[in-house]
Amino acid sequence: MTVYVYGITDAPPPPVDDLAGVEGTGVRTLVQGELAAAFASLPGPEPPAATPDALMAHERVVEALMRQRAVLPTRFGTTLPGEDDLATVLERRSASLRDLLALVRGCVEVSVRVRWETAVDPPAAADTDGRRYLESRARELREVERAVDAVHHPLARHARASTRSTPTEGGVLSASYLVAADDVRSFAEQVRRLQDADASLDLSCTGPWPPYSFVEPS
Amino acid sequence: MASVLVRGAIVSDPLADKVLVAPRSGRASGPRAGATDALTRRINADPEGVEQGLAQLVLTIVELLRQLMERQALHRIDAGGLDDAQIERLGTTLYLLEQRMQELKDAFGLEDKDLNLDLGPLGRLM
Repeated sequence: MTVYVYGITDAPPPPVDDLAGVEGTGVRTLVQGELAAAFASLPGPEPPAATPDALMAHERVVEALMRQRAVLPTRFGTTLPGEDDLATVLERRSASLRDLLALVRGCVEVSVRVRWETAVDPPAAADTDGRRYLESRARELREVERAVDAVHHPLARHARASTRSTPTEGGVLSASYLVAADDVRSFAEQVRRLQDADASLDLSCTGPWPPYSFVEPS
Repeated sequence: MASVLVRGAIVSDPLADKVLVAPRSGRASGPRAGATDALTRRINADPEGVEQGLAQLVLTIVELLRQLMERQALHRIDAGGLDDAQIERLGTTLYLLEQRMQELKDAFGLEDKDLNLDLGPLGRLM
């Protein structure tokens, strides 16, 4: 048997009887002290395969929890050997988990991705010219800095917390913002204003998401 | 908007209506894109996977150093402290190092995101 975890909330947990989880399992909860976890008991030892259906089921459960409580969502595929192990994690990490719940309470995650319209020639694969390599790297880093100054810093001022990274699948910057649930529309408005003010900026903004990017203790 | 039937109750599709600002190009994507991070970032301690787990750890550190060296080189060029021959040699070295890193990542089946490090206020390595 494997315990598949959706997320952690304050105790007592919200009702989960009506929720359907991954692989057709029901959702259960476990209370340990002031914390609770929502999980599924899977019959086999393996985590569920990362199919679109399973990812969607995971997301639905986490969002249902999020609508009722502050939640620390776990990434798809997080498993533990048994319920005892889950209780142990909640007990051992109780202080930091409660701090994180306080951080995300009342907030959702909004995700922003930045591209520049101006196409940059990628360095040729066989380019062994040292100076040209460094120049292209310098150009890439400058584009990231421009994106941080033009987009990330202004938006971060409207968020309780933020995190950024270089996207692995295109674009120069991908950032996540922890925004008060009531402020999502006005935050999106800020994004649109930045987009409209600069024709070379290509922004996408999605949300509200569970605060996946803000559940690691700092 | 899309809805699905779950255990007799209509619930909204969580993936619908998530686009707050559409990009001028392409599709929007959210944090779900990295949904398997928790799996891939874990160091594999199984006997069969221990070699790959160790490679992941070592390559993460090497990649951190490579990026630091690259930034240092760019700062020194900006500051005007290097002549043409030095710039050429430095650039070639860093280029070859990057190529070699790519070969090692391929050999161990690792992607950039597997070598990520959260550097706190500095953001993430990748």
